[in-house]
Amino acid sequence: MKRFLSLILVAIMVLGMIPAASAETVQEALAAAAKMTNEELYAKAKEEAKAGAQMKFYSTTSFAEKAAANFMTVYPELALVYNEIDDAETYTILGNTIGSGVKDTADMGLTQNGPDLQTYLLDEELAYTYFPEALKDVVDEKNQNPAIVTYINSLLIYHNGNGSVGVNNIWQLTEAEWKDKVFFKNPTNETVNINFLIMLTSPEWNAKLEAAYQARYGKAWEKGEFDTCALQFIDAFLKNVNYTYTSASKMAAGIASGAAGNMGLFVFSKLRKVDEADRGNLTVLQLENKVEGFSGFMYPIYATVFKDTDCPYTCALFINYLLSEEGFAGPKSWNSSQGYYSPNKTIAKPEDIQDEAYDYWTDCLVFEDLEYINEHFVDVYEFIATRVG
Amino acid sequence: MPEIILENVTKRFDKFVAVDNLNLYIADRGFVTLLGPSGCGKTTTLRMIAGLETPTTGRILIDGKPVFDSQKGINVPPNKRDIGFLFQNYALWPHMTVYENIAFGLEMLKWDKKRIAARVDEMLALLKIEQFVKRYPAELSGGQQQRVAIARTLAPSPKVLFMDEPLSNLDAKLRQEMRTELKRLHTDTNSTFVYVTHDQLEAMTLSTQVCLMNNGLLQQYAPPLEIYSDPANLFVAEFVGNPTMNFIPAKVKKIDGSTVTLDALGKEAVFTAKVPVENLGEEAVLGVRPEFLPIQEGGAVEGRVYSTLPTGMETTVKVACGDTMLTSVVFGNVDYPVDTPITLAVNGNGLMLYDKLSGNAVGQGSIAF
Amino acid sequence: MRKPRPNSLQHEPLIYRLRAFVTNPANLLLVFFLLVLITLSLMPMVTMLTNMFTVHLGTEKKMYRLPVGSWTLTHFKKLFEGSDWSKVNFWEPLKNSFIVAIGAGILGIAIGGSIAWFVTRSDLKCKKFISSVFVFPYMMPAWTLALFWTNMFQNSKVGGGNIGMVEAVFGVCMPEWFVFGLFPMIVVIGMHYSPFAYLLIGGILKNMDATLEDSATILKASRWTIIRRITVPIVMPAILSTFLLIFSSGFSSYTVPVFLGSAVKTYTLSTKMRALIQAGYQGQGYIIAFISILMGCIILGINQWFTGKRKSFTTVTGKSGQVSLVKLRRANWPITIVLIIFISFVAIMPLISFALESVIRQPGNYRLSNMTLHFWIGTEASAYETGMIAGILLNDTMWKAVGRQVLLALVVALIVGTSGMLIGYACVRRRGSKLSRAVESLAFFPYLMPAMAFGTIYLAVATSENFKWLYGTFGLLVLVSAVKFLPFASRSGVNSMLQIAPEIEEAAIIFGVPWRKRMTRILFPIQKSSILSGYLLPVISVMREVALFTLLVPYARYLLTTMLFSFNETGYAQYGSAVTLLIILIIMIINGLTNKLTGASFDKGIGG
Repeated sequence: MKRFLSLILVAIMVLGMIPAASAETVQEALAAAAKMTNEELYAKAKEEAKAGAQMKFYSTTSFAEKAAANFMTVYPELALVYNEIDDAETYTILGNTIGSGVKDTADMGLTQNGPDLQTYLLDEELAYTYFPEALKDVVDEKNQNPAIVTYINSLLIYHNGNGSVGVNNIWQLTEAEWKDKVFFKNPTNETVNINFLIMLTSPEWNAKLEAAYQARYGKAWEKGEFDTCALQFIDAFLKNVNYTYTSASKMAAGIASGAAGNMGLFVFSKLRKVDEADRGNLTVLQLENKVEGFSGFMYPIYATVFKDTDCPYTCALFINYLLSEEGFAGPKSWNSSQGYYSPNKTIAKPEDIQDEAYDYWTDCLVFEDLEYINEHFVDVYEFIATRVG
Repeated sequence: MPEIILENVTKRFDKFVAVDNLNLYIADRGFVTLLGPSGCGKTTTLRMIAGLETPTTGRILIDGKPVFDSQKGINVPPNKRDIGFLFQNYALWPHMTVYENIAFGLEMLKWDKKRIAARVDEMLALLKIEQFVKRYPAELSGGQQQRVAIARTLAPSPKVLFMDEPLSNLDAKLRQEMRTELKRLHTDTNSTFVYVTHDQLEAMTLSTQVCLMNNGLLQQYAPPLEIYSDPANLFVAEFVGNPTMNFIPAKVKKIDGSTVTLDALGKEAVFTAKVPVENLGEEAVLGVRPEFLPIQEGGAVEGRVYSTLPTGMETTVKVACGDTMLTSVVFGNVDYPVDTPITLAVNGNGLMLYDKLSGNAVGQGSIAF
Repeated sequence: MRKPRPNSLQHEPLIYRLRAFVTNPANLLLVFFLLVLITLSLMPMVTMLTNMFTVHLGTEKKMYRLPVGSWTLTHFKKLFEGSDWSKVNFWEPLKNSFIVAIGAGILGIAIGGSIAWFVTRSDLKCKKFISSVFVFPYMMPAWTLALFWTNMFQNSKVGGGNIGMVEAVFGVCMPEWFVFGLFPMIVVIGMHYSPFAYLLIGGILKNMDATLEDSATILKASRWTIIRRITVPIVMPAILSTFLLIFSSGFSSYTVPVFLGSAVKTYTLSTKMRALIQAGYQGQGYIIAFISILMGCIILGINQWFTGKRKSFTTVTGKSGQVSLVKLRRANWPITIVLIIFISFVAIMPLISFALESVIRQPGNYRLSNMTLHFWIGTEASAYETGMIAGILLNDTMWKAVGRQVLLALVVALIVGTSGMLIGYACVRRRGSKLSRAVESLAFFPYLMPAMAFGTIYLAVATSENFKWLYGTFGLLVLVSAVKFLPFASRSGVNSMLQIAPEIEEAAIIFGVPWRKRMTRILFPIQKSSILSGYLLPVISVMREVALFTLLVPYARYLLTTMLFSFNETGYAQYGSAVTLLIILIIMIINGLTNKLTGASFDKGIGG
């Protein structure tokens, strides 16, 4: 009897070791997954689910919850758990928990603020990028690594009461009559806002600001107190900014029910938070007049898979789903709201949404460039932080 | 130095009557003690005269001036009644030195610094606490604090001084000392003292008049020795005197003018009062002070020694007489063994006879068995 | 107060002293708590201190171009050196924090202290109403009072031009300095802590012997002179303690300045700390945290010095006299009415405001036509579409969060209350010994740490090698809350035990009653009411805490308060108001039930 039992024990140990020996790393799994079809991924994912894995993901956007719910109806044997995370805490929490051996952390994340993603997770190899081969042609290369599942824009939007018409040149917002009438979330509390301001100093946008300056004041910009035109703009702009609203939703609702003429630079999709009765008060600047300079900025939500996940295939399948029309344009998902744009060029915006397609926004909005921001963060942050008051 | 008059003063707290229709006349320069058990209303009465408590009805006059009149709506606040008040817990301000405590009242009178300093020095000398002048109350002993409290109260030379059980927090020896001091102060300062205590010995030794109260009612108001020798009712008789008066229950057989025939201690006795006896019912109580019940050969009362308490100067003997326990006091250095048979004589002309039902005294005299 | 008994075993061999030491349960308790407290409060301090000198991943690495983890003093230089950066990130906010803290302290004491005097020392009418309602603001999360303020006073002439209740109803527009900035910060924090001052100062006034004032009256002092020269000096230690406590809380307050400062670009040290950490300047962030704690220690030191100088001002011996209340006469009704109006505004109006805000669709529109119960019990699909849950009362996630928060509160209360009582017992039995003094001070220390810094540090601890099993667990929240809210429980434990004469326990010892039974059958029942009150205070503290939990919850909707905070940031304000009202109601229910069943109430736990 004893011998029999010990044989069994040995057998179990050996069997237990086999999967361990053949366990692939997350990176290998993702590389393999990139080449698989959705059905193959589903099969693999089901295996992971059977082995007890449950995919948990963090997201700063609540639409992801909807997408996850839809995902689970399409792939019934998989279970996804959505965890909301506040943007301010994202990388502190993720940076501290991934790879530290803490059990039950998330498997993947849909997060914003690319530069920090790069610094805290990707560079430290706490997270990996993934992109399916099948979609390599329908998505621009710059949106593939890390994979961007959606873009979100912040636009200049104003209260159109009392015949207000907004502006047609961005430099107007730095002038005396707009003091305290321009609303913006305090950049030191919102990293994507800082990223946007830093991007303004990039050569491309600096040039556009110089051109707008010329158009407004009839003369070329000259270096005076500030080294570049963009810095001068940021300085004057921040002097006029009013930080009363501490979140985008509050800003949307606040401006809509507040004084006529007030202009805010905030997340477009938050318009859905404005009560219907007040929604008519708001006008998106860019959709009314062409603006010299810029009319807002666009930031992406990145999908990355974390180092210690136990279900890489499920993650891959989910990312595929989000990038596909089924996922992005599913019921009550991102595509049902204005302000979200898939990098997948085959997905069109529905007719009934008052918005333009992704391509429309590419030249009038300031996009995030990871490398530029990471390189120039320190100097420009200091410049901005000392002007925020 | 003013006289104090209370007319029909009553104090009610909701339904509870703390002081019931009190009439009092305190002669000026008197030392009146309000005496009684806890809750009898003495502190309340004191506070009403001082103005710290408002009577429900009645009149109070100090020096001929009404300071309280419920009908006319007069109620002079305490700081305008020109009085001094010594609290039981001294109420010394812990954050001020002894000097500052004593000087406080004088500062309120707007005296100049020199005058205050002189007066404080005077008080310190009077109460013999000069060396504590810069100390804080927490650094003093109980007796020292009490002297400081007295100094503080006397400093502004109030016309009337109220004292609320000031000696109750001191140990026995200190209490004795302070009693002497207080009596001395009374003579020296020439003020009217109104004193509250539950200690009948204090009341007896210090005052010119004792106002004995029980349950809000005045029981007797008389000089101490009168209260001792002529207690107006059973309560007073029992309260005053140490050891307590002996109460012998008796059945009234016959009343004949000043002579009352009683059945007491299983024997028949005849009580002869000084004046004709009235208002006596069927049951009586014979009150005999222990000193009128000496141990004597052949005495009228027979009993057994129950216990003795010899002090060296005198011995208190408890004698069991049938069902009744009697107390006798024998002077001298004597002792009696327990359970020895013994006889007591009933002497003197100061025996009291009380009507059992009402408790009132009906006569004073002698008895013959 | 008894002097500590001299060590009679001084000259005995060590083994005997050790045995005597170990057989006294008070000693064992002290050693146990000393170790626990050192680990739980000092260890985080060490983490913080090291972080002040090392280079962190991210911004700092980029800025200083030094390897991560290396030692540097640049954080200090950057933060303190006179430059624009240090002015904006340190000196200005420092000044603002001071102003707010001092202002709030003074205001809290002025309001709380005066009301305490009126209630304990005068014949004011409606005392029951005033004293029971006045404690409400303390039960509300501080930032909700800030929100209440803006909901009331914002108007078309300030900020974004949104109309608040006062403009909607009375047409009055308050000026900008009234609605945003340092003034409302002081008012809101002062208002929030005035019940606290009321309870502490009122407690002293209640126990202060009335004869102290009566004797001054008889010596012809006027009412005003008495207050000035007798009442206030005697109550001064309590006033000073209270001021220092409010100052400390005001100084490290995070949520209130966030809501009231942004609009006018006024920042305090705590908001800057958060911003610096978020931008990756962790070293400087931790330095600011350290300075806040340093402030707290200085305050504690001042407090100890002052109360040590004059031994407690309890009256010398004797029973306390009957209280003679000051008669307010003709001023009585006017003062009563003013107080009732004021207290209704401060305590009841916020509740009404939250209730109203939670039922209006369009912000600022208070007409009946604009009202809906949708946010409470609605099931409209359209709401769901926009990413929000429907009515909060019908929502599963919400009830789970409620359950967790209440459970957390109860578990923490149990741990903290019991520890507080045990610490109280041990410290009082060994009063005056170095061990008990150390434990008493250590137990109070966590109060001085800003909650935000506390949370950040514990996140680092909970993800380190040895403690990663803690992360994201309910247990971690319990641990952190227990440490943070121990101070008051231990104070209340010490106070309740001080009132029991040692002879009471000694009688039981002589009878051979074992320690555990002595605690449960004798000591606890005697002081049941005040000990239980020490259990109640942590319940309230946990129910309204958010800064401590933000970094430690696995996700925002885990707890009710973190969910609320995220609503205020991202959701409809209406949900926020509804949840706030719910939190306050839960607190009131718990307080009320405990009061009915055991006679305990949280005001006794503070010292009222």
